[in-house]
Amino acid sequence: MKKIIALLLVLVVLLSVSGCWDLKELNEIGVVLMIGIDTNSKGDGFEITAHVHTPLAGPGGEAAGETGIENISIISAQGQTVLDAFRNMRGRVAFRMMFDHARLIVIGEDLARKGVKPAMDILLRTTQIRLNSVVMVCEGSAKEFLQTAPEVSESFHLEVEGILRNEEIWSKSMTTTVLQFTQDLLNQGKQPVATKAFTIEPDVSDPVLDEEQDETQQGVVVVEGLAVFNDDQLVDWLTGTETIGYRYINGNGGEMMLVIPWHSAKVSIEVDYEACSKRLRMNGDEPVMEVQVMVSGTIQEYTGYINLSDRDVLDELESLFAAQMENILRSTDQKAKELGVDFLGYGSIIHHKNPRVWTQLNDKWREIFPTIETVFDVRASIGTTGVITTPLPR
Amino acid sequence: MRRPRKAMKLWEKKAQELEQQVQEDQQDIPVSSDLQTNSDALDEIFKNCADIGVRDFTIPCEQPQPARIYLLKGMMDKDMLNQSIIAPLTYRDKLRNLSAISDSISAHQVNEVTDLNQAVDDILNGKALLIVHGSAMAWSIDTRAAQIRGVDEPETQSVVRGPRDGFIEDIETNIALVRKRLKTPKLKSTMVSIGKLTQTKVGVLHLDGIADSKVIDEVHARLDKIDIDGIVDSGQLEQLIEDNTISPFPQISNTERPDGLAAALLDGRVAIMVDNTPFALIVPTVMTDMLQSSEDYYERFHFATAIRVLRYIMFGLALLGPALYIAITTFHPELIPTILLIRLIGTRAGIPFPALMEALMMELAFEALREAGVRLPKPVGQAVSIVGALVIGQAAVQAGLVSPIMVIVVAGTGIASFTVPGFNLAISVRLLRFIFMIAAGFLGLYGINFALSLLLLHLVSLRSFGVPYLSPIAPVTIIDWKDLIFRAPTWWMYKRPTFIAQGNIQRQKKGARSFQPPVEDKDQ
Repeated sequence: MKKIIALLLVLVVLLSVSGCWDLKELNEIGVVLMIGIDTNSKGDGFEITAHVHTPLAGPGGEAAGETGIENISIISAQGQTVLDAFRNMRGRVAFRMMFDHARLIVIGEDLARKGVKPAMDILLRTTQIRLNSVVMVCEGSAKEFLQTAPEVSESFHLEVEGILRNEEIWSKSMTTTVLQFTQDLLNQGKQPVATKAFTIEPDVSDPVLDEEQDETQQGVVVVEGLAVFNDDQLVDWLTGTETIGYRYINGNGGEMMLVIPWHSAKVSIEVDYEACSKRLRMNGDEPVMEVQVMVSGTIQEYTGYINLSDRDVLDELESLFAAQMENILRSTDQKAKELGVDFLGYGSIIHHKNPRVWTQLNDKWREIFPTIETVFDVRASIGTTGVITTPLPR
Repeated sequence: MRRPRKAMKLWEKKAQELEQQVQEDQQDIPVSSDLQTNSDALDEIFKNCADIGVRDFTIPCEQPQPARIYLLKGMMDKDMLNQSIIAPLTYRDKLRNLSAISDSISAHQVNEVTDLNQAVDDILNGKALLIVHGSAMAWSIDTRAAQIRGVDEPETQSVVRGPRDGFIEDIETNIALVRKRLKTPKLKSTMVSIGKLTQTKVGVLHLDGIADSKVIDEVHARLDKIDIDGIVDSGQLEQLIEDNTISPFPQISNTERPDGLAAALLDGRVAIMVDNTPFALIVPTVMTDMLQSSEDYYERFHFATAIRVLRYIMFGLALLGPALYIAITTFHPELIPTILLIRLIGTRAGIPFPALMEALMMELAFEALREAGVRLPKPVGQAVSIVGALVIGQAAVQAGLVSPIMVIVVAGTGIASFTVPGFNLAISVRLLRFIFMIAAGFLGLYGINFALSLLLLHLVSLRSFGVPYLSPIAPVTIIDWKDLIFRAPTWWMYKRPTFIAQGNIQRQKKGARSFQPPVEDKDQ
């Protein structure tokens, strides 16, 4: 009897501590795949746009399995706060919206220029948004951006995700997560950046696609470059090449293609990022940043007639390669200093490597940063010259 | 309040009467030297027993004596009766006196009987009973011809590689099949008979010096306490002697394979064999035994290990498959990759039932199909599978009652449960699956965790003849893990399971594989 009472007590306690009493059937939920956040028209609140996947039964109740991903509706609503806007959205959707799968969060340009902090709070506070969701800034309003039609994929969010995955191959774009963005936002020695996306008019038009898309906006999505923030306000965009510099200096470079003009011909080198180290050197009282980047390359294309199997020839190419790389890195460095925004995180390097210096610099870092000298040391090597070593005869 | 007490008294009274009757039955009746008295008594006992045959003849001694043979018609070897008993007793006239009778009978077993009850038992066991006038002694002569099927391949527990013989419905043949594999006097077998009316022979087998004597004593103690009119299969005996009768988990395993039984005896286990059934019981049994097949030891260890890994995974799936599906889709859709989730939503759109109901319906239908398939006569069995596949697999999905994913889940679970070698464990998993589904349907993954914890608590509290049910996992004996999920190469398993065997625990010398394969001379 004692045992039974004990067991019952345990049952009562265990069952009442349950934390996720939240039953929802799959066919009752609308999966939010993408969120766009804008300021509203009055400028005192937010406008939310969302891609919601809604379950639909097939015709005649049969073949329920054939409804696929194309079942996406675009819904938008306004509200005083982001959450308020989300709640207002519920009046329009016949399903319980679930945000756990919203992996893409697009912030409109207006909101980004005004400051994103008021919109960031809900992303961090709620359990429904994952910290590894992508936060990106689009040119123009997010509402319009979300109405872009996918060019090749089944749905727009798949298209964007697919493009984001390409970043490792060309390095001209970079994925920033909510977590990373927030960490940079809180870091005094580093300013945040976010993925940049925009739409362009396609120069090749698809007649079939054009007929179908009267409602959605024309244009195709491009993800390239970065949005630079000063504190939480968007100040400028980085171009694709500057993004390469950002990635290589920050130590998360991917592959890239470099074209070197050489002896009235061109060499295409596929560059592989190897390593990067940043050091602080004190030149008297002046801090000097030393950035060392190691890259390796393979020659993938050559339009001239010089035999590339010669070591001296390769040495010459390697020095050109290093110089070209340094130009790219320097352009990003230059951009940061022009803007006066330390998005490269030099301050944080000083903070980590030389905390004593940082305590002196911390307060006036914004003024000092543009004056800091940066020394680049690029070590470039060319590994292979492709399948053929000698070029085609003249 | 009165009526129950009265009923109780009545019941007690009846029980007492029964007891008396039993005692009367067991009173000794000595064999009389008068043939007529004996045959009258036996005729009275065997009144209306048409299968009891009688043969009267006269033994030509110095003073010819009338004699009589009682026999069980169906179990009699007629040639042997004629040639070994009747012929020598009737045609030889040199039989001097009655004491030489047993010498003149050429049968392999002749017992002298002085108690008529014993004589009755012998007749019922198929022996021929010879009573002679003027002798206060009867002879029971073994002239049995077994009415049994031949040794055949076991229908359950089949293997690809391994011996093809299986136990049959005769205990002596079965013990012989084991003895054939263990040619040692250390293989001990003791016989008891259980069941007041069936008098079923039950043999307890063990290897002396290897099996735990406590387990043997415990087996005998539990067998002695059985007080039942009859048992017809070892399954009944199992339920009478198992440790925990409420638990859904079987604590005694059974085998139809003599090789499996021999291996179990070599492990130090004790076998209980019951007459008239091909299923022998093995104690003590731990849970992991029922996830192992005897073929695991016949195939090389890589494959055996891989198959065991597969079996453990499938065991988990059979228990938790539908429950996990319900819990994740209805409580934790955030755990599903986006594209898969959207696929799942597409397949579930328009289904009128909640996932739990859907799963319960499908599982019930599947269990019904399975039961129908087992009970139906073989020629009709095919119809069941056609109807089942069409109605449940296709029509239900097309009608929009069940989502196709659910069909996959249920089918996968069904296949998974078939991979569990111990049928008795598989059926308990089949039952528990429903509990897990309901727990998942109400509380999600938390519910599954909750039910799993309770299950684990129950499992660690179980014992089989003193051996913890989860050995060697809990309590941990690392050395026995060589034969758990990983099946070590045979040369490396040099010890018997330490949680079972006592005494001689060494199976072979450590490092028994001491030879080196000859190396080819490179110069040649």
